Amino acid sequence: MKNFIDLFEYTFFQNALYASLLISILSAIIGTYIVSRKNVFISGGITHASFGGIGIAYYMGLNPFLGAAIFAILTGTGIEWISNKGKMREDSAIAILWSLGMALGIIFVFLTPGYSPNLMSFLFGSILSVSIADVYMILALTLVTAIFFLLYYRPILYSAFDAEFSTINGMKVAVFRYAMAILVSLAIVVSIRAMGIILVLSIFTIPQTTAMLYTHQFRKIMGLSILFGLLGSIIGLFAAYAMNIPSGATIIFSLTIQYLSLKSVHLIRLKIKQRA
Amino acid sequence: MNKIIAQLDHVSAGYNGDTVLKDVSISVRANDFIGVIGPNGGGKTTMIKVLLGVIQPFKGQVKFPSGKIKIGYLPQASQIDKSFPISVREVVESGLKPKNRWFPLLEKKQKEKVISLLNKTGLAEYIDSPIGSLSGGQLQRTLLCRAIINEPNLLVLDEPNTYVDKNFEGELYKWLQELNERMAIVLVSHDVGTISSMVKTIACVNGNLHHHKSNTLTSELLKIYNCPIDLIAHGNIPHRVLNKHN
Repeated sequence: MKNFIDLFEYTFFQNALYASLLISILSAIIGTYIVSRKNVFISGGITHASFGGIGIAYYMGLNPFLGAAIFAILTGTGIEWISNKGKMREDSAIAILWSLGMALGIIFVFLTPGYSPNLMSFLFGSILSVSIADVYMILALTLVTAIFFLLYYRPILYSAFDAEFSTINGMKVAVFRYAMAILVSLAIVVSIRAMGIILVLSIFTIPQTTAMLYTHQFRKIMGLSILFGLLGSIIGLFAAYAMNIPSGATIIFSLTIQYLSLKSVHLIRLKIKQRA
Repeated sequence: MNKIIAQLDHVSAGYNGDTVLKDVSISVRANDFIGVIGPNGGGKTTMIKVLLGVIQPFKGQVKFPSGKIKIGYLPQASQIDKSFPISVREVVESGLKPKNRWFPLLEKKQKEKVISLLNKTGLAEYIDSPIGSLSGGQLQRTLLCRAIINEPNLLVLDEPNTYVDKNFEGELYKWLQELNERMAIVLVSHDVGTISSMVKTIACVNGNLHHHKSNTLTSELLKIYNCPIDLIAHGNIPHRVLNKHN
């Protein structure tokens, strides 16, 4: 036990905790939008396409997250554009961008001379190596997202629910849809640091799915997701440290266990209710 | 009070370069109640989407001769994602327009209007329920509340009688008659029998459009209008549709 308390004195662990806390809030807000709009597959496309940006940035000696951000935003807004124009099957477009991004990433990483030590951490995440600069970046994005939602909760909700009606009603639907596509892309990119490309989607979906056991109100799903995300992340973080496993994997595992336990309780209560 | 409020002027429109509507013209007057009928794929929905400004016509124009009007819209129920986490209150509120578009908050008066409309339409007890828990009729009622909350001059309804029970259908038509006293209505329906008894005029859309200035139709007229609708399929109602004059 003392060992765990000592942990809080290490800067790397403090950073990891701050990052988990912020990512839980950010992914709760953004993930509720993704899940409600049934955009989970699109988000998968954005995540994997961003690897192309990481590869190219590596090759050019730039900050890999800058590359990831550019690729993610291009993919996110590109898919939004395709789905509005309807000129191409959206799911096929996502699959193409998804694999093209991964392919570009692999090509450029292999073209880069020397060994790329951080590659594994991009794929599987490494929250324990988050720097204070990363924490500030996540904090800034979380603040921007929270303020955007506070001010524009209604238009965001309405344009996600029924874009056609909102357009007829005179709302600038495209502005909100593209703004959200950019925020979704950036939220995914900053979370990759902690969760990894392959695993990041879970933090945007599992807490929401758990929350929807209790409520079907957008606002409340966001609130409960923060709680479930936070709890799952912190347990996962300790497990990652204790067992020396990539944090992304332990966080997902704890989020899933949390969901399955609450789902079981939910089902049992339903059964008891039916009998009574 | 009977001025033209909306007009399609020689409009051709469609999707991906395919023309569905060919050279269609129609005027909607302030107290009109137009039933739009026609076969599937004939362009009924395309026509109202042009009217609503969702689709830009290839040719022709949409005009609003008496100035800008407010339009309320009830989409087909199948277009609504029932699993979306949104409450009845939020859906109806989405039909309102906030005063300030940069800080789109609703005023107290607007919120009260939503509550009073939901009270009037028997939805009060579902006000904070997610739409996923509603029956077909309750959902349609919610969507109709959304369409009329902003007091439109023109109400456009796309197949409002699908997925609802007969009870609600009767209620809906009574409601529409009442609304028609203060707004024009354009109602799209595949069900000729049910709509003809309540609309004032009928528009047949099948590529072209014929606006028949009464609510009775004969099979012969439908043939001339090139509008292959099966009147016989509607049991005993067609007798009224066909022969109201007798």
